This record gives sequence, C-alpha cells and structure tokens, in this order.
Amino acid sequence: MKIRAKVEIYHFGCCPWSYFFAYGGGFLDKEWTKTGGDFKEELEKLGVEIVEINLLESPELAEKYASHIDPYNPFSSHKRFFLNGKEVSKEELFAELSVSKESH
Amino acid sequence: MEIEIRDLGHENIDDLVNICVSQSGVAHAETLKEGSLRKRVWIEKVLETFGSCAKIAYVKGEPIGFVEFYPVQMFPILRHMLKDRKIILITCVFVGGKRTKGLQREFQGRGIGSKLVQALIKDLEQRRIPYFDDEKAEEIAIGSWCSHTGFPEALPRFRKFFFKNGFVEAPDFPDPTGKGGILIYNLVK
Repeated sequence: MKIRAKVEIYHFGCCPWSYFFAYGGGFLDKEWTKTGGDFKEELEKLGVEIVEINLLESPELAEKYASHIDPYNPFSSHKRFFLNGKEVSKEELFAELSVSKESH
Repeated sequence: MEIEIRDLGHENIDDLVNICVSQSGVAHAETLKEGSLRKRVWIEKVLETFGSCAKIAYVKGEPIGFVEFYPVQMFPILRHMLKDRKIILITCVFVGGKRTKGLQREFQGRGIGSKLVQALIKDLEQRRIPYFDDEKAEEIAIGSWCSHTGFPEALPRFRKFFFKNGFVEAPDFPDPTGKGGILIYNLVK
C-alpha cells in the first residue's frame, strides 16, 4: 500500500526565519538536511504533501493546533506530521520516509 | 552619517524583506528565500488592511535597518487575551551591516535603532488605526524575543535599548507562555 505522508507547516508570515526554522530548525537533523533549505525539496521528491499555514492569516488554526506557540515571538513555528491521514510523531514520519527513500 | 527613515510602502517591500535575510550568512538556503517570498505576499496584504507596518533606515540610499509592527489583534491567542486593548506589537527591530565583532554589526550602536523606534512612536501618536475603530494606539509592546528568546548574550543589550527609548517592564502584561518580560511604551501620557 502506498503511504500518504503530509506535513503541516505553521509559520509567522511576517518573518522569513519562522518559515526557515519551521522547515529546518525544529526538525533539522543531520541525516536529512544541512541547512534546512534542502529539506522541503527532499520531502517533495518523496511525494510528501506539504501544507503551509501563515499563523497571522489563520490564527484560529494556531489556536486549535498550536496553542503552545509563543505569539510574541515571530521566529516561532509549529509542525504537524501525518501518515495516511493519522497524526504521527516526527520520528514515525522520518522512519517511514527513510524506508521509502531506501526503496527509491 | 546621514540617516533617512522611510515608511514601508509597495515600492520598498524588497528593502524590508532583504535586510535581515541578506546579511544572515545562510541567505543561500532555498527555504529562507521562499520564506522571504511568503513575507512579501503577506506585506502586500497588510499594506491594504493596516497600512505601513514598518519603518526602514537608509544610509546613502542603502537600506540598513528596520522596525516592524502590527496590531496585536492579528496574532493568534493575543487577539483574545488583548482584544479590547489598542496595542501595537513590535515584531522586529534590526540594524545590520557587516559583522564587526561577535554579534555586533557595523551600523549597530550608532543610534539608528533608536531613530527607528522614535519615528514609530511619533507616527503612532498621530495615526488612526483601522483595527482600533480608527482610534489611535495606546501602547506599544515588545515581546519575548527581547527577554528570553534568541541570543542570550544579546538580551541585556536589547532590553537596555528599549529602556533607553522609554519602554518599561510590564510584569502583569498578559503572556500565554508565562515567561513574562514584556516591555511596553505608553502612548497615552
């Protein structure tokens, strides 16, 4: 069965760094990317659906899914990970993508 | 050194967007570039709904710093906690140039940040804000990144900078993180 993977990226639209950290800072790891800049492309190559949400345009989503976020800090960001429609941890998503990557 | 402060408008969005990113050392990162594009799109919208949301400092025509600000009602969580208050939140103050030593940059420590903040105060003393039913702002707030976020070694300098510009600590100011450290400037004297 083909795995459907999705990542939701919550960022402050007023800050390019929030967007950068959302892809890099929070789930930057040595194996996947060095700068954060390559990670999005890597996800796309593997067919991962990416949904980007500007917290300033969709504050209700931040309140629902990222209520721990520091609203005073525009550098902050949040991520959610999904496999086959079910929310999973970052580790589970990475593990599944690693299997997929090896089989490519 | 002659410093010119200009309001952000459609014509100088790129100046604002490029200042902090271009001097970061990781400006090559594709995701950062994409973040800049997202910011550009966002600013275009804000100019229509709120008006100018930044002031940019220029030296010899080159953009070298900015202060950026928004009504608190735009922010998740805060829009409920502070819904009846006429507060402008500063999201960023940055003055750049090449690195000289440590975190220090060539245009820092020359009063440019203060000129930006003072220009903002002067503007807000006059300006009527659509988000506040066309009334004036009553307070300016500066949040966590000057008290417990970012480079720890730079935080005392940030706080000193804002104190110098008339901001005071607001220990009772609503803060969903519970960390406190919010500074405010009272526009209603």
